[in-house]
Amino acid sequence: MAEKRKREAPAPAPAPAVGIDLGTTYSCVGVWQHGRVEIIANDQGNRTTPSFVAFTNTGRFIGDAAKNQVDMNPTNTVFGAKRLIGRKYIDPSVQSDIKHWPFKVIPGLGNKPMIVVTYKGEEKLFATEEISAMVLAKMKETAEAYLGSTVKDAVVTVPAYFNDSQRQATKDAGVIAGLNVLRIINEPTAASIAYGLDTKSESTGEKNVFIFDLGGGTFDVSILTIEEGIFEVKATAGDTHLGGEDFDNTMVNHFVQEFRRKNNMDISGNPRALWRLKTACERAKRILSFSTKTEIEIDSLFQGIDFYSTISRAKFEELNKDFFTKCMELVQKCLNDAKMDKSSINDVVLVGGSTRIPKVQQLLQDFFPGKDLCKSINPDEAVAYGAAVQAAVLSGGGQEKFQDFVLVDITPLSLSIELVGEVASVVVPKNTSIPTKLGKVFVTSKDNQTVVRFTVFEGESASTKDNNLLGSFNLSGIPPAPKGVEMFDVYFDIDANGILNVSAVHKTTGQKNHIIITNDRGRLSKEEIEKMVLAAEKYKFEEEMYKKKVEAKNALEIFAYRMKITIMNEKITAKLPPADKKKIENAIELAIQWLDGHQLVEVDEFEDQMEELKRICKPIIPKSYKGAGVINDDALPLGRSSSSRAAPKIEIVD
Amino acid sequence: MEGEYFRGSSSYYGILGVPTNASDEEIRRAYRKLAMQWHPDKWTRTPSLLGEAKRKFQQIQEAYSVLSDQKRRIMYDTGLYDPAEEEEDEGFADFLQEMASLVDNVR
Repeated sequence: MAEKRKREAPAPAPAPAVGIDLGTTYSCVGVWQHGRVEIIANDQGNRTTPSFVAFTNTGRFIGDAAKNQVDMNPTNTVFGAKRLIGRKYIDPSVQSDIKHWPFKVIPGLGNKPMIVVTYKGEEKLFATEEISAMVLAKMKETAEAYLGSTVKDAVVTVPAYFNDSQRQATKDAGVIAGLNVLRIINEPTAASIAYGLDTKSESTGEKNVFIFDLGGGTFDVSILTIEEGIFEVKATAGDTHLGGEDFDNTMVNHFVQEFRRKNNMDISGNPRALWRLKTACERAKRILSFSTKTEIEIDSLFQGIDFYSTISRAKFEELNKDFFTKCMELVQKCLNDAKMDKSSINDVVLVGGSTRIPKVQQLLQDFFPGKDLCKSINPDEAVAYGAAVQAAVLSGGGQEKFQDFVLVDITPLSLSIELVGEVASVVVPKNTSIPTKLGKVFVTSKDNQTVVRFTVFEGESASTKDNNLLGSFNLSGIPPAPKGVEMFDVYFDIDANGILNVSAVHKTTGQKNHIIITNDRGRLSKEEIEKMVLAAEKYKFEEEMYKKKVEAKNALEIFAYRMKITIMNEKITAKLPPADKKKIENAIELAIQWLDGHQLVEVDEFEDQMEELKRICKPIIPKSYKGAGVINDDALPLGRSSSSRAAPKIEIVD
Repeated sequence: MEGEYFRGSSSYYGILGVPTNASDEEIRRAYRKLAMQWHPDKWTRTPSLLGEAKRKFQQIQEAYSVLSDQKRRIMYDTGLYDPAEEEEDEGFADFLQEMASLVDNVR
């Protein structure tokens, strides 16, 4: 039926490009329409969607539905994928996160972290990109439901301090979700667009803006200069592993210890208990933003023991003191990098849910004395808002409105070539505006060297072994000569999308080679992505089938009970021969019994049951009855001769 | 391998279209005007010119990164600008800056 409807519908108009803030704990989608940004509410009416994916015996849930069932299903509910994306399993931050998560993560090929869940009774492995893709697909669907057409193009945001592999992996997740990622943009930059457009009318002249973005899992600071529609990022700093989740975890650790002291029992091995404690801690954290003290109350937390405790704001601040100090250090670092004094900052803008923490606000207020912290933009939606604007700009929507708008972003990390002895020779310093093209001359390091290897790294360490390897290539056919004689021009060319092309030319022979950095070691191959795209489509199809089954089952259930009520109404049954009445009553009872024993069979079977029941009940169906909203009379004509289709039904009933 | 920076041949002042005695404010204005014009995002509708826009913007960006920084600009003006030795030459840049201000005072 759904298929039939689809065929009849006119070809949908292409939807505008959307902006998606893919967050650690929550995601948000926005679109530029009718001269403004609309932040789109999901099917639950919420403007942000939990970045949660749950797997059960019956199906897969994403967003609110997934988060709401963690209590029942902690080991098969995945969240915080952003903390894994583009990282290696052996990464210390991955190791520490795994300890706090109720779901299982194992090392996969190339040391990629793989998430293990049980789905429909089977053990399944998912790459982080696939989980993020499921969240992105949910955001895509949310936008499609609002726009009424298929969404293809999107701008997706990442923390400014994400490295190349984290960015590429996020882009791959977009592809798996069926999106064409127009660009990956930095979260604080996106937020600055929301701020800049918001204050555009009331301000003239140059403004230096400090963006402080503390979210669920990541922390970024950026300094921008905004004047007459030009958004120029000056510097950025951050920690891709610092956010609300960490604050929750310190609280969880605190209470685990308290429980141990009080009861001499360790709950840290029990995923369900840990999850319930974490949920309570997260709630307590939120309350402590308004109140100076709150209670934690969990019934039967572990082995039937209730847990009751209190926590003060002061205690919360003390537990997370180191994190807050780290935040402020990065604030100072960013100012140093921008070569700016804090007095030259005009506005401090708060972004991300964790900026609601009073201590964070107080530290910032003390650091920037006499400056109001700007809270006029919505900290949960600003990033998606800016992404939606950039999506419109890049796809050519809202032309006139954006005539005087341009965003000049920067490279967050230095890019270098490896010299002998694992020394990093920086070619593009961090915080360089992009697009950029910078060159440097390199020479041979050995006598009679005929092949030169150019290895490209990203990061701030003077030693390449502490930096992130981006790729390498060789230049051969160099005539033998003493070391230091043969020279090479090496260019780093970065386009507006942040894609880096490194080329080297031998000066005397003109021999050249180059590499486009898109394929990091830990990255998915094209084949893997294709496989994941197919798998994602399969899951989506299965989900739709599941939904249809549930709908068909509900329709039958509703119809059967309606008929049961109708047959009890004497006004309606008065003219009915007793034998017919008995027959109808029997058919209804049989249908209800059959439903009890057949919770989720094929859609056809529900429909056959429905048809048969409708046929028998025809004499008592009121003219006005339009089905239960799902299977309507047009789609399934009543009284259709269906003896052949009824036959298998009898088999089932028996 | 050992490395050393090199630089393009056109004058940074020429690229930004400002006189060599331009003020910081003039340099900034010139850059912003050109950036608004040549940033590749302004050319997404004419893909044939995207490459040209990128090349232009990269030149503008390089010129601005030097001329907007007082120390680098002095080094550039005296023909001594070399990004590879920037950090080591901090003291030298300071010396040049001091000389420049002395000259200004004498005038």
